[in-house]
Amino acid sequence: MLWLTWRQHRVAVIGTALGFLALSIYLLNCSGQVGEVVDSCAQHDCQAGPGFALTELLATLRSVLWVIAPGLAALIGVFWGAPLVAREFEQRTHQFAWTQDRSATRWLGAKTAWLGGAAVLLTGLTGLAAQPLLHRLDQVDAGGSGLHPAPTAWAQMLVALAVFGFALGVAAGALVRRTLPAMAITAVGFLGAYAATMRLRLSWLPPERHLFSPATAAPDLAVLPRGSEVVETGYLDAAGTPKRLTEVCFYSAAPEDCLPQHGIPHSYVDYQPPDRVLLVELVGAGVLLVLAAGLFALAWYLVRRSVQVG
Amino acid sequence: MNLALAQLTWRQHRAVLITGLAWTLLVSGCLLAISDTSSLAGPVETVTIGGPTVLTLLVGLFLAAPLLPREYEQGTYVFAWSQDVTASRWLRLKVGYLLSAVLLMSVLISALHDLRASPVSHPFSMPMFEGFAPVQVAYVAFAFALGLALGALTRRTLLAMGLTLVGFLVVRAFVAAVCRRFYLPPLHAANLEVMPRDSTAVGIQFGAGPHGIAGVDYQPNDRVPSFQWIETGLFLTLAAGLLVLAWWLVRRREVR
Repeated sequence: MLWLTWRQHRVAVIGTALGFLALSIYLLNCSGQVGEVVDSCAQHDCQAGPGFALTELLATLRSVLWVIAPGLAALIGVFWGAPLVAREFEQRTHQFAWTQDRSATRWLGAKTAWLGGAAVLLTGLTGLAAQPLLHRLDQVDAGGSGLHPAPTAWAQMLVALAVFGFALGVAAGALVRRTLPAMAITAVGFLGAYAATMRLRLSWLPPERHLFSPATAAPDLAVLPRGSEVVETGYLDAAGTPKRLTEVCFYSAAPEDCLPQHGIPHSYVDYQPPDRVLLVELVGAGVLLVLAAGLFALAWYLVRRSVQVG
Repeated sequence: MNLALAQLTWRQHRAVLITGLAWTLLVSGCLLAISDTSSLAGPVETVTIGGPTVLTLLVGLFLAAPLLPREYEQGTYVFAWSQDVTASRWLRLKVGYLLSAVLLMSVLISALHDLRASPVSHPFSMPMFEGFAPVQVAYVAFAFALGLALGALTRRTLLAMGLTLVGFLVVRAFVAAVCRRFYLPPLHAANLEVMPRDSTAVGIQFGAGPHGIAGVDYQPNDRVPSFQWIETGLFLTLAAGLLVLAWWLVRRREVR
């Protein structure tokens, strides 16, 4: 069964693995760069701290950690998961695959176990490769400057996303039984789930609020306890109604003067305190895994039913 | 115009074409509904970048890449190309119909995008530079031609789709990060203070000088329109080359 799984999926597995390998090498390399800057800033006095010296790298890292890594996880769902069942139906090979010495559900169980295991292994290793970098970035983030480009539980989130995407692909393939539509559904579904996760991952538990009076457009995040994660920043008018900067002083060259003139006395930062951050994020990853289990069960049920009917 | 082939093309690809059209209408509707772009800078930027990009990937991955492999994988090319149309004519007509349909969608989505793009951003990068309608149309043509050529080359649907995705993203990122700033030779200034205000630094030489800067290469911002046309030309040329490659590959294997 392992041999068959490998034969059928090797191109997709090798392609995705190369992507994760390149990502891991890049992250290890970045860890070295960040380390050099942090060390030299510890010896010589850096003008505005290591965070300032690394502005450009941190911006790149943010898009790598938030867009490219989840994008690779999406490929697991689209190119491993979606064709898994759909292709057998499309090429009519399910009649051979599922009537030989193995029942359909055992076939599905073995395939999802091997490929799901490979997905966990790939994303887990990438998460491990990211650990030195994430540790270095904690040092850059001294004083909760809000520069940290990754969540605390980045690695766990990546593994959960990959498992969820894979389960979504398998279920979509079992449902529509055609490869291309299943791939499209998986891509769209993954995007929606990822956007929802990013939006809700910190705010499902009510965050704590720090008020700045007078209002400031550039809140000094160093006042937050070190290791906090910022959920949202915003502005409050005298009645306490939330306002956005873009509604009042977006084009203003000096928002500090503009804000009081428009009746905005306070600004706020909502944050999760450090002792809660890890728990809050792990629950987010856990929800994805629970959803994945549900999708696997759906795929299992659909495949079992298709055998019983015909 | 070959009515039978036009009908066949529609029937084979209607799912993707209808999805693309629905997406185009959805994004256009969103852009039209937003009257004041300044108050919604974030959402507008998401729609203006995401809208055309999703259309481009849909066209490359789900329309162009499976176009030829499907015929090979299902063995239908034997029928499709041995009747009253030859393979090369079949391909020419099919590409003609599909490409004109998707280019129309792209024109619609990016023309509105141009009107709505937010003025506050870096002139030589996303979303200002790439929001220009001709650039977006050239990207769509390139994605289509890349998918078609990789399909003709690999003759396997999933492989062609995967390679199209990687190839498209790599070429786009490479052009944006490495090539774009040198479309025209950059001008030179001694340091950042001397550089004219409406211009963008594209390279800094470190060495002896104030703040350790020995010289700055820059592009004046009024070159943006000509750069956009150069990028349009570049991607259209790549698209034309890939279309010729696909046509040549199919013709070589023609059932005679």
